[in-house]
Amino acid sequence: MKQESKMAPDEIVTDRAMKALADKGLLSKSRITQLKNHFLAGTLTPQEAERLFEFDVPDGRTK
Amino acid sequence: MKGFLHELELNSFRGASQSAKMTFDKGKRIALIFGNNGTGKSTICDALDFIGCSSIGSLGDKKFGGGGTDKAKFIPSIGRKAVDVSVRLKCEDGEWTATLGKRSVSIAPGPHDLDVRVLRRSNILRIVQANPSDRYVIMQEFMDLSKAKNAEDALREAAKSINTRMTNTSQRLRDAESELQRHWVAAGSQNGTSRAWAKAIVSKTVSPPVVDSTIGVLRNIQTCITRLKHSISDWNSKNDNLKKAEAILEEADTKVQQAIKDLSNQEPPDVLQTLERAEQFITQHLSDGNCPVCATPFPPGELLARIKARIQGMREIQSAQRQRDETQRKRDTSKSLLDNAKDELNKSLMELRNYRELIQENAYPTIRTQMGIVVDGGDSATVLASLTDQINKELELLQQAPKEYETFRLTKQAIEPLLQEIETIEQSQPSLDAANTRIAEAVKVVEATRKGYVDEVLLQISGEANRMYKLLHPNEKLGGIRLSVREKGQGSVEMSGEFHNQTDIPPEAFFSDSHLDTLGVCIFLALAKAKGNTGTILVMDDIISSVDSEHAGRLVELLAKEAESFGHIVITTHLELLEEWFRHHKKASSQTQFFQIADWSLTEGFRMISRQFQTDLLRSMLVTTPFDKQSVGMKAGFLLETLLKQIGLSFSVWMPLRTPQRYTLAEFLQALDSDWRNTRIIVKGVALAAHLDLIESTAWVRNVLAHGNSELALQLPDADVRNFAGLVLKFNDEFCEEIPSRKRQPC
Repeated sequence: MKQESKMAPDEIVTDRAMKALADKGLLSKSRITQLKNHFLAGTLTPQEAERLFEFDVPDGRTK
Repeated sequence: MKGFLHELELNSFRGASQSAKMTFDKGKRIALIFGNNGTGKSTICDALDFIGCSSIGSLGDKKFGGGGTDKAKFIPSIGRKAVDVSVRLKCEDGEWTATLGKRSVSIAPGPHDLDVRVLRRSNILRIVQANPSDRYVIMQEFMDLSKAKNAEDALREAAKSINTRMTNTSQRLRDAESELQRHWVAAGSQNGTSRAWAKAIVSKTVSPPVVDSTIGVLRNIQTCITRLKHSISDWNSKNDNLKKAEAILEEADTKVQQAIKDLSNQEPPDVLQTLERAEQFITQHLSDGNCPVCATPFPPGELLARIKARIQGMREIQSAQRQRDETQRKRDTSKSLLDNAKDELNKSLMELRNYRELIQENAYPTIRTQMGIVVDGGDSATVLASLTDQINKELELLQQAPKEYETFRLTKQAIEPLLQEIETIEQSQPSLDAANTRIAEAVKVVEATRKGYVDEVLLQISGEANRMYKLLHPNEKLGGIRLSVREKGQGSVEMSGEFHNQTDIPPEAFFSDSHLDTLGVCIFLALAKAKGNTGTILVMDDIISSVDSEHAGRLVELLAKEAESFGHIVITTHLELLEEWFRHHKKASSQTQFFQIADWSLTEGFRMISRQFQTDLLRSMLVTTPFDKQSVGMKAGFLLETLLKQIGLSFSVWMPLRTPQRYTLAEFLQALDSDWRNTRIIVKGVALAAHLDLIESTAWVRNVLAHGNSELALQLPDADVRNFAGLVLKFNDEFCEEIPSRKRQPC
């Protein structure tokens, strides 16, 4: 796993945010992967975000 | 060692009107470039900025008058063109050459990943006194979260959209339920609840009533019955007529029979014919009154009268006969008409029988039974009346059926989409509800993560800046630097500090200019460190304009400590004091390469010359042949004066107060009396007296040489001068160098 010291700020925040989303069980793993890719590529649109959250069955809280 | 500089070459770049090259010593992380004002220090920094950041350097910070927008045109040295400009940098990472293109700086062989950070005096103020939004721009690279922020915004917008959809959906559900309720009440509030009623209606499949054909059949039956009734009536009428005709015929027959019988009793048969011929004969032939048979005369009139009377009687019978024949015809006609009526009646009955077969027994049992009675020849009149009534009722019902069906159809048509919408919404609402909750929470999580990271970065930067600031200004009751992002102000960084008992104050309002300078340096260093890039090349262009010795010493110590966090630190200064500190600070001097720039001229550009310190100079003079005892003695004396002056300043030794503050060697030695020499100034167990007593015994050498080419000076042995100079250098190296830095001044 890449160390934060070698990451760009965007990457760090994205990484931390996605981990928090997974911990809170707000999104399934596969959707988190998709959301993360959008975050890093800067391609997330409101429509895509709606799709990711609306038709998802979260895996449940991990913490 | 990443980011370590090897060589820098400037051609036609700013002050380098002649090609200039700097070669950096391996292992020395700090390059200290000393030069007076206007010698070209900034040219070197600009060159590093030019190749490291593709920037036009200090020109960018300057404001020109009219026509000064194209600042790059001032980069070429006087008399040189843009194409002549080049800066070549060779460092641990590789070698690049920067040239001045038409619109930008071109780097060959391609982009590098060097991290060069340049701090100028103008930048210091920019960091410290910038408004929050400008300060944010300066620090943006450490918290460039544009992608994450854009994604967060998209997420927030999506959350808003889902929330709006959820609100709209709830409203649609309420509207649909209300509309369904209205239909339910209008339909009589059946099935307990509107939903149950709607489900029952929707689940019911009712085909459109096939009433047209049934109505047609019934109407045909109705017509048939009408015809049947007419046929029956006609038959009855014809039957009555026949009966009447037969009665008349019977009467006529009786009459004829009676007439015949009456006549037969009087006359023989066929007598009428005979009588008629006789009348004719008599009329024609017996007008003469003689009997044709016997030719006897007889009167014909009487006979003729009798004949005519008899003929008359005979003719009445004939008339009765004719009347009877006429009656017979009429009877036959009635009979024929009756037969026709019977045919019609049978035809109507047959038709009714056929229609009866079309009537489903379970649909209309009564009608069918009654039709059966009729066609089987039952009590038709009564049954037909009942049948007519039945058919009329059924027709009325059948005509009502399409209206009922239409009402049902319209109701179903209205409530089916309502029910469908309610069920769809109820099915999707939990998912939408959950998505709404989760995305709202996700927005909070992402926002908190982003803000947390920014706070963390700012805390790290301000913590680091604070730590350095404390090193520069210990026990000065100022610092407490804190950088923070405004709660609602995106893109702005606030800075606060502490000053004596004041907390959370704007440093620029309370700190002195020199304190703000050092604060800017600390923030610059902290920002550069925040990247965690140990290959960063720091360039500090004459950042300190004036500083007292104590603070200069701390600054040098700080830079010496921090140097290991960077690839290379290039510092230019015009302050000799600062340079001296670098030279005499053990840690700093061991990792510093010293450069000196000679005075600049257009023909020679800027030139590097070797930089020698007083001690180095004295050492070199001691080994120079021929030995110049005059110069060595004077240099040693000057150095001794400087050392004693610094000791006096460091330990607050009493000296006579006068203006200008110029003191002789004797006065310095006198001020440092036996108390200072033996007990108060001790370094590593060695008292000042151990050095000073020896030096004092030889200090006369300096006084002798001070008189120039006096006879005494000329006779002075070289050995005495060497001894004096050696003691001074020993005093510097073994005693002064070891005085703790905060008590020590450089020479």
